[in-house]
Amino acid sequence: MTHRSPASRTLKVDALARVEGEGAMYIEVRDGRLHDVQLRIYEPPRFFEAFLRGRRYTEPPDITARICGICPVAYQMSACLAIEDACGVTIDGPLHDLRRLLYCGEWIESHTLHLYLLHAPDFLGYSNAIDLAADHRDLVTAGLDLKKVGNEILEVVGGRAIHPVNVKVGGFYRVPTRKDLAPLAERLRGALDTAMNTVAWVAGFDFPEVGHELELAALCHPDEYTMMGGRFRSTRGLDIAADEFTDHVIENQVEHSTALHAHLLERGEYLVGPMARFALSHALLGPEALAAASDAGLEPGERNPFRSIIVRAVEIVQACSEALRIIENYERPDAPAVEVVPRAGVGFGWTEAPRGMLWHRYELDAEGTIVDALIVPPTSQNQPAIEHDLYHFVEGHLDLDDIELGLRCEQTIRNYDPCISCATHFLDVTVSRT
Amino acid sequence: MRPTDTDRLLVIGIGNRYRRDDGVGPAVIDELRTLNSTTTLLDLLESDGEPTRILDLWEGADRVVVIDAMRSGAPPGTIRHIDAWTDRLPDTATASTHAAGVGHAVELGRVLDRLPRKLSVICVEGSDFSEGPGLSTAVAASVIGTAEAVLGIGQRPQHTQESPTADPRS
Repeated sequence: MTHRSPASRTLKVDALARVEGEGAMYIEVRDGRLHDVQLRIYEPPRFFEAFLRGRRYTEPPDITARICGICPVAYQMSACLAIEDACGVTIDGPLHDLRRLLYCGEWIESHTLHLYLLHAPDFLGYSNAIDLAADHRDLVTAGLDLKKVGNEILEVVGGRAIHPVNVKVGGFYRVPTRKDLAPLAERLRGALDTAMNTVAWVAGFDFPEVGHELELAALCHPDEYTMMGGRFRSTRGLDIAADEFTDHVIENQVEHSTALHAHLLERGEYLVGPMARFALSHALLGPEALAAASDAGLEPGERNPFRSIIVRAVEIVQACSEALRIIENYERPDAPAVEVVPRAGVGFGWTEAPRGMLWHRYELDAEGTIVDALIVPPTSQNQPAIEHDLYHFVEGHLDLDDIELGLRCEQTIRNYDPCISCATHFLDVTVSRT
Repeated sequence: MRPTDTDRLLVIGIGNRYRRDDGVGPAVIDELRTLNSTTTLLDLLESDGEPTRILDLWEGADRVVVIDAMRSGAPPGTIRHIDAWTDRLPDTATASTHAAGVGHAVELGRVLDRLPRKLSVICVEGSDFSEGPGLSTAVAASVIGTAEAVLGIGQRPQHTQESPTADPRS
């Protein structure tokens, strides 16, 4: 990387810090004008969709969980919903609640990891979480304990914290008793306090005055702040069912990325994730999260990507309070799973991973063998929007030297908490000035 | 249960079995399971290397050895032993296919007073971190030596214990 800001230059960051996965960033400036910005995902393609062909309809929850160590529940849930849809089965009642409890654990773990260890150092002038922890030991300790509560939910409901093994098509292999969940409730009460304090903490950060005009899209459900199912709606009127997704969203291959780029047909880039969920469903947050958002000054019209850290904090509150409510009202299901009998057909499932909507489609034959599989992860959907945001950020900050510009670009990318592992796997930045 | 007494040695193999030499940590764990040594009480765990999970894994343990791949420029298969209490892990000491790894866990543990009383990091120089299972020849040849180095650190009567994770389908 060069340390100058001439009229023409190339900035390369070969290993972006504090994001999930492996990738790079390339910025090219010619004659003082921004020529190109690329978020380069060079992680090799991972071929999970091909692995799934020829496997039994019962296998996607375990196979797709391996796509990501941070959000395996999202993959398991989207896979289950899609297979169950193909087989004409709907899971509701306590089994649905248990799935939602498991998902709350993943939101808590993923959001807390990103907020405390990856994102917060940007706002406080630290280059990493270790320096932050050295100066704010009690704060980081509380954050790690909050994250651990998410892990504990995954262990109790999912069988283990990484790549849970207790999820199956139709429900679970085993379901917990009220006694099993009781210790979690006690832990969640403390976690809820920490989460509320976290919102107040991050709301006090200094945020640059920026905004974007991107279309935001998220799953919406009439009765709940959506984690699973529902319709995919946007801030500009998109309103579609899961089986209509590919009628409205196209994926393109681009030369600089092994992840596909998704666009809304005839509309262009769009953004999924916490800010989209908050924009579209904030009224369905629980009272604790609503109060925290209000105290933090968050409005559904929030479009400053740097303030996404506050939205994630609010969603941690939501996940803690929701998990607590599920546990308090929990009645153990009569059976751990509903029988799912295979049949020929196509099924669709989508859920809200911590980073945004995750869509699965499976085609089965009559014996339950998977004929075809399609998976669209949130980072593939967000990658064009991240490049769009980066382009405008760089265009307005060409006066910065390469080191500062590279650091600020990495911060811009971290606003979106990309999981490159899911989209295929982390970041290398290149700025070219010629 | 994790070890809570000074007779036990917790061994954590870090890495991804499907990124070639990044899988050397889990491969050494496999080797320790087969050695069936009678000299050291071992608890054997694997981790993807996410730092906070490593902190959770060694919580309550008195003596810990962490095994990870490194990319330092040394000849492939080179084994390097680092005492985390007396040495700082250089950035290149361990290899991670994620954003952060063992070095971050150690330094985070240090500032938060969450390091085990004894903590050794054994690094094995890798050469191939591409997709797929299996170690390069030089790294595969270092696995037994690394396992023996772990046993040397143990120096206690032992039996092996699998990861505490139970598969509910079994």
